[in-house]
Amino acid sequence: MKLSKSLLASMAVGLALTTVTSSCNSEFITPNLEDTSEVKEDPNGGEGTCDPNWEDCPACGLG
Amino acid sequence: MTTPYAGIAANLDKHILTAALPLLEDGKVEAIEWSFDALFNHRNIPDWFVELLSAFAKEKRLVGHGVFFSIFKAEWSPEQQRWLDHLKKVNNYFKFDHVSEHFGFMTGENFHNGAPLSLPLNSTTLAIGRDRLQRISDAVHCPVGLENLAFAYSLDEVKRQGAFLDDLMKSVNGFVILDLHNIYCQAHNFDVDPIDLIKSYPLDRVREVHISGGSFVEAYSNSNKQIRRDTHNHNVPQEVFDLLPYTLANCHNIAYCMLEQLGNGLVEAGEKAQFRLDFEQMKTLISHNSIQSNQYNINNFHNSKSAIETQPWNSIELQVEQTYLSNLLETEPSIDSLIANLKSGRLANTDWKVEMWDIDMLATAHAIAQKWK
Repeated sequence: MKLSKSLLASMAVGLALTTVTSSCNSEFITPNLEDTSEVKEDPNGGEGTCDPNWEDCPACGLG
Repeated sequence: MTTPYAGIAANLDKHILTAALPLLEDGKVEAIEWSFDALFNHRNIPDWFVELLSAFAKEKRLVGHGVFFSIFKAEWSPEQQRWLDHLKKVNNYFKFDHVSEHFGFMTGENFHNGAPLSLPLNSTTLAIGRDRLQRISDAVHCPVGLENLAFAYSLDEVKRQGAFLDDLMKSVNGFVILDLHNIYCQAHNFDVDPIDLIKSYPLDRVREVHISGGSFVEAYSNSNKQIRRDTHNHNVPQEVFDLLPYTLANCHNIAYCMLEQLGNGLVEAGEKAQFRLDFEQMKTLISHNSIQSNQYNINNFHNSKSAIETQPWNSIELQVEQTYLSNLLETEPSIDSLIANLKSGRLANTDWKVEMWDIDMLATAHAIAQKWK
């Protein structure tokens, strides 16, 4: 299926910059289902992580 | 049937998406399967990922594949309700072409920490499965399916899973995902012909096929024997590709063939290149082996039933048994003590048929549960 050049370009740039890996050390991310969206700073200076709150996540909860 | 779409299981994972990017750029990826409940420990979900999913969704080529619902969990839990609410919300946005989950139940006290394991195939599990499938169907109003399980404790279980899935899926006019690597695992582990095993499944209910890789581990009882596990961390073995032509020729309702591999097996450039070669091989096999079926055989897999029971179907007895088994698998220090407990405990002489369990598969379940606890 053909995808737009702008999307493919965004992906290429995004993948070059991102450190996102959903399955490096375990077979699937196993989210914490505690109902909180508190953001924790990443000690390694990355994007930061959060206890996932589906309500607020554009890819997951689309809030 | 038209020619099935050749797709990939794509989650927000740098290694998977980097491996797939050249295929996406060439327009070769025809569909995407997204595990909507495998969430991301990152605050910023990039817009391009949502755009990627949306592009496939717009063409009705995005399918949802759940991992953590634990469809046969015997006592309905708040986490399952949240999973369902989440699915409904995600589906309202993307409008999946279909939604699927895995056969089995999850070990582990924590809903999201576990591995899918098999269960007794009886009227209780059938009732629970039907109840859960109807709830998923009611949430999404699109075809609903289950994937065959790679793991089994006994040959008897291997032989019965297909017929049980048929009974189960009939209730919602649901479909089956036939994972050929899972078939390969069972065929290898129980020394049966994989084609005979495929034939034991309701082939007219197969709407999606998975191919993937896995790994071997040394058997507990015999260092010369190997157990095949569905770890998704290696390329597709030729034995799995060899099953695809028969499957395509005999499953007249296939809409999707998906290549699954986890990012932890796609770190090196050579692994990424092999992933693309696997995809090309899958696509070639699809184009050479798909057949046009009689229109009268087409099943749209839509569920005409819409009402669900107010109260979820529960079995306290089965829940106690599942918790008991999970605890044993997670806490028993040795296989010997595990076997002793099973033979003398509450699962002895029940529909679990623990007396028939293969010691090597029990040891494998022990390893899986220990890994995920």
